[in-house]
Amino acid sequence: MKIINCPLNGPRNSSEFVHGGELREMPDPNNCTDREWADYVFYSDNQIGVITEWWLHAPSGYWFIAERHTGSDEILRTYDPSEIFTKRVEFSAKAESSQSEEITA
Amino acid sequence: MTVIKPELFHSRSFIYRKHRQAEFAEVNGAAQTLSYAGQDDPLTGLIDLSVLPRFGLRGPQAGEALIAAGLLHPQQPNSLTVSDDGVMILRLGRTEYWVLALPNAAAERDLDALQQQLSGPGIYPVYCHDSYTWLALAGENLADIMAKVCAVDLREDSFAPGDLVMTSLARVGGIICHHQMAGKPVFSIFSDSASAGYLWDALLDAMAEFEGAPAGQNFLLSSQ
Amino acid sequence: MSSEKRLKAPMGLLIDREKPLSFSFEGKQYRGFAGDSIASALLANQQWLMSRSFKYHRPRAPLTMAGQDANTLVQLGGEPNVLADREMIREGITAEGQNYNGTLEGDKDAYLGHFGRFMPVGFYYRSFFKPMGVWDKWESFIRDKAGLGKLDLSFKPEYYDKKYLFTDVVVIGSGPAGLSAALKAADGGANVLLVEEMPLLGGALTYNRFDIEGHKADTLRRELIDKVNAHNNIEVMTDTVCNAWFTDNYLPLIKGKRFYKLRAKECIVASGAYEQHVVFRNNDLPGIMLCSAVTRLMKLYAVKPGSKAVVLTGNDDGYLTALELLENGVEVAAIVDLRAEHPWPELLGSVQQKGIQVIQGSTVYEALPTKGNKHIRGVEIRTIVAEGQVSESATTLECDLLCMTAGYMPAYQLLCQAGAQLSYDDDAAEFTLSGLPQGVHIAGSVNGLHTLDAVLADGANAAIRALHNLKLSEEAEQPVSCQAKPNYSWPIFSHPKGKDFVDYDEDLQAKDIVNATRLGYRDVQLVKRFSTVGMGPSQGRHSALPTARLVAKSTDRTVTQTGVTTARPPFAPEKLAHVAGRIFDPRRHTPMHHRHLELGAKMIPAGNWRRPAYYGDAAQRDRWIREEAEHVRAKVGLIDVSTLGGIEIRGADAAEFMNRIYTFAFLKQPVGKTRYAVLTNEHGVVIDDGVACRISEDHFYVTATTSGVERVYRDMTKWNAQWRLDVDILHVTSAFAAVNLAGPDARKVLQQLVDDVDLSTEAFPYLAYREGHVAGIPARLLRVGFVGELGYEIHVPTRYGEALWDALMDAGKTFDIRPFGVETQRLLRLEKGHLIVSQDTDGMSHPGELDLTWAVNRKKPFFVGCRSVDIVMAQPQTRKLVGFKLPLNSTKPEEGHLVLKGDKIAGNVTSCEYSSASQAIIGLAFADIADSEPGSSISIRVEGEEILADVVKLPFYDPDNLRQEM
Repeated sequence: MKIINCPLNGPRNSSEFVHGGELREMPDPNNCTDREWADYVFYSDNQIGVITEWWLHAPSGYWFIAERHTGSDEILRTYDPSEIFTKRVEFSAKAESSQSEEITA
Repeated sequence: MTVIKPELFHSRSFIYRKHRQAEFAEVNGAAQTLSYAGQDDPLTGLIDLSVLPRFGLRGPQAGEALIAAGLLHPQQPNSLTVSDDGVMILRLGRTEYWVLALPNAAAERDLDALQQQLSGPGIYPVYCHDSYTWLALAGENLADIMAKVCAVDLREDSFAPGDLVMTSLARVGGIICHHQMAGKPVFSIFSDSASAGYLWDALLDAMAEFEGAPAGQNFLLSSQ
Repeated sequence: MSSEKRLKAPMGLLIDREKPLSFSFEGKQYRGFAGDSIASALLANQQWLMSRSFKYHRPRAPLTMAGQDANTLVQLGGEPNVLADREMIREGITAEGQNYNGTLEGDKDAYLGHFGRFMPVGFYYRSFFKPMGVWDKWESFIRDKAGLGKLDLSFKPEYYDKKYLFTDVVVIGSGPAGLSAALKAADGGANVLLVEEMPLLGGALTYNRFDIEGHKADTLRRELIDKVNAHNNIEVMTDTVCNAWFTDNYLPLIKGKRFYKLRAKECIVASGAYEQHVVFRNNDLPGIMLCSAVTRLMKLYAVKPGSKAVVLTGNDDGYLTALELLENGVEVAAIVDLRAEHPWPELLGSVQQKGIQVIQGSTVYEALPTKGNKHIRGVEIRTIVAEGQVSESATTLECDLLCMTAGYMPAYQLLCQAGAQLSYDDDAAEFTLSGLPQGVHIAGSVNGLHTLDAVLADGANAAIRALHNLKLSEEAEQPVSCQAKPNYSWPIFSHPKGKDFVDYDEDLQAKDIVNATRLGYRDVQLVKRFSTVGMGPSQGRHSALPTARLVAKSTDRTVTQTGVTTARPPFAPEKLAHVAGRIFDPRRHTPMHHRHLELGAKMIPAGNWRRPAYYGDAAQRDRWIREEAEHVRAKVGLIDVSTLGGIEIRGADAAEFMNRIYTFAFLKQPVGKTRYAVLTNEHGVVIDDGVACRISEDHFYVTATTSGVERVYRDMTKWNAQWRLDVDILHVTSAFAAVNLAGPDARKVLQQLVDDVDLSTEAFPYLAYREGHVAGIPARLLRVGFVGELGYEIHVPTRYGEALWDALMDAGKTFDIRPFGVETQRLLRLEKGHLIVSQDTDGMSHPGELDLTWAVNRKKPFFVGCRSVDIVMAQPQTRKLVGFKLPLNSTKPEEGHLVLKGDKIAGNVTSCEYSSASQAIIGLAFADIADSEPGSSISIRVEGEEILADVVKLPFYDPDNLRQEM
């Protein structure tokens, strides 16, 4: 079994981890084209080379990022997501400006 | 004098039914196993500490609050400290802490008051008393026993007193903490309260070849 | 009882002559010593025949004495396919031969050997491929003739278990290379685990003769083993098979009834080499063995293998074997040397001085059998005139033992699993291994080294490389060289009459391999699949090299080009018990679990939880569900909902986070209120739902489905690893026990236990959230209406769960409270038209199909899946989840039954139950959009019958929701 080096918990058996998919940049959901959105949701490059992925260390609930070569399956580097996600993400409103959103339950 | 039994209390260990032959004492509004009747101390004991006082806190301000309250907190993620008066503090990851009263420490410390004190913005309570069962594996061959349920190397060289790992044991998530009581090495194990009975049985099965047996908290307090 | 004569000590390293044991084979009693294998004890009693071959039922006897051939597979009590040359005898065991019809000695199926030409290579492959149905005609015959061993159907499982192991350096194999490597690594400060398959450390040192005098191996073995045993850093595991190599040095080790999973930082493979046989006619007769098998018999078990031997050799080792035989009282009729040239002069002189005839440049062309092929009685020797070709003239020698060696094949399995490449060195006529991954090292004869000095130095070098990686040493490796070339390049002498076996397990002869290539199977992997070569229990240990040579020659390629077949795990057969033993199967129980059992609940799995389906015996399921449902509608019921997922969202951005995760709007949700929360994924598909309680401005408590909460929690934490909102996300499923107290009398029951919350409709209305105490237990109270009656969900810290249940059941006595189970709850919610995500939804269901658009807010800037929801909702909708109704006396559709639109499938039934509240069969189903309006009808196919159901408006029961809002 492969060993994955968790930035928080150190090297552990891969069975302790859950794959979270490739890290991809979300296009602006309110202003991108349908095609751009479909590309983001459905299509993957699926090429041989180093890709950046989300991995979860399940027992500690810790998400981190791994750079893995899809050919050799070697994990070159793992690190905390704060290295990439440095600031609060905001979503812009839709082009045709929003109304009061309240629906009373 | 009433004989102390788990059913006398509203608060109960998740696995109190496993302790049919045990003697209990009232601790923290529940029945804590003191010893198993008619049994010599085993080489290795498995002790249910689920009813002992404990609380958790986490968030960006949690560490600072612990220092401000005069409680030393573990400097490194995934480590623990034990104070002279029997309060154990676990640091899980970077910003989560659990404060626990080891057996017999309850009298010295009022954890409820401490929990009130440790609140405020950037501090969030963690319900570790109810989410997790607390089992202590103490005595000899601890690493060998754990190697039958856990893929992490828990031998002294790589898992020293003061170390803590969050991992999987017998296919359930858990936290294993290495500390000492009365000169005995102890692995405190915290795992999903809903599968406590399953884990208790799995550990007893793993212990069998090492002459391990269930025990009460007295096992942790008596030096051999 | 047979007589038994053993050689004198120090022969017999493994046996304890003080401990005689008796056992039976084929119904006859035999005696042996503790430490004997079944095979050694039988051979000591002159019982050579141990099994019959797979295809031709030829008599077979041990070939390797090391568990590397299938000739010694026997039935041991109820266990088939036990290796007689590995399994030690125990007092009173009962063994039998395998694969015969009648008796082992007089197998009625031995005639099959004469029909060899009717069972050509690829027989099974070709005969049963077509025409269709031909298998049915052959099956019983083949099952009868081709099976190995008998299954014990009254088998009782025994306790097998598993354990993890950890080490700095693991050394696989304890021959001279392994011992040397282990000592060097341990001296360098590493912790070493030394793994040996046999009961004794030493590998070749325990049986092989390395010098003319015959002292070297023993002296060295003692010296090295003493050091190993005295070393604090070395742990030894004997009788342990390393069965595979997996990524990052994760090695399964099997010892007795325990399966170890070893993680080593560094792995040194010193697995040795397999001595190779010579291919000639009748090379499978009992009495024909590898040289190493003969020396093993003498040295390990003190068994004299025969009285008159011929040694057939392609190297010097055969000469040393001849010396060993002579010293132990076996006459050596001749050494037949395949090579034209002489060995080193001292060795040649030494054997000639002892009167042994040496015949150079010749081979045994045919072994001559006694009657019934039971044993060898002599050999026919011919001069080699060209590769694989022999002279016309022949000499015959009498003998009762033939020892052979054509060279060695590295025990490459583990290394190839680690990614090593095999290439053939034409000069040495031997495979070499290269391209090992980081942390894997090779040493000794598996590395193509054969002299003792070279092997020892190579072991030390491997240890030095491991120590480098561990940063324990900077010592340089010492150069190693080895001039010995023990492999003879073409030890294959095809005979026109065949029975020149390449693969003993599968009864494959030289011509079978050649014919396979002529039929077009040029690739060695295809040759394997077609001919089954290497597929038997010995997995090509002896057949791989001659097969590679034959395939290369008949396809005009090099052996490097043909290669050998892949050696996948396991290395040796492993029992299912090893894999299956002590499987962990976690079960989760709510704190009320034992109360349910006491009440006679029928427990069913829900994820890894166990939940009551209903209370009562399974035979009357429908009755219990109906009664429980009627009770909730008329009086009051209690259900354990502790398995419901729970997540807390806290912090300044809690509402913003909820707003982004769920489809609904949450920014302005009032404190003290609950709200239905639906979750879509990025594809716009509904994946979970729950109820969100706003406890305070910056604190939400949100429920999720039992099986979905783990995923919801993971998604939430992953999203916030990106969004960086000021929010804390805590998974609290196990922290709370919960019940739903439901029915017209629910308030009356609860009132008795609560004095700090005003339970009146006005103070605590439908969909409100309150905190207080129930029977003194701190509780979160939610007025929700999943089952459609006045109801309170009561959530308390888990430690109080059982006490809460007891208090409610006790307070409810006056009102005839009754517990109800999950299946009853499913009926009740169906009557209210509430869907269950994943039961009534599938991987394509978007909010529009589920009539959930009311729960989607499209004015807020974002929620997960918002854009996809927009896109799919803009498409013309094709199907919709609808409610349908059938009369009580109609055939009842089941979940999964198809809904048809003309001759097309429009959808399927997702839920369907008898409802006494509706006095009908009610259900939910995906229907064509054209049939989705109330008043339409849908056609459901039930067991071939088509049933027409009315589409009705939801809910089925209490359409104005008056009851839940009481």
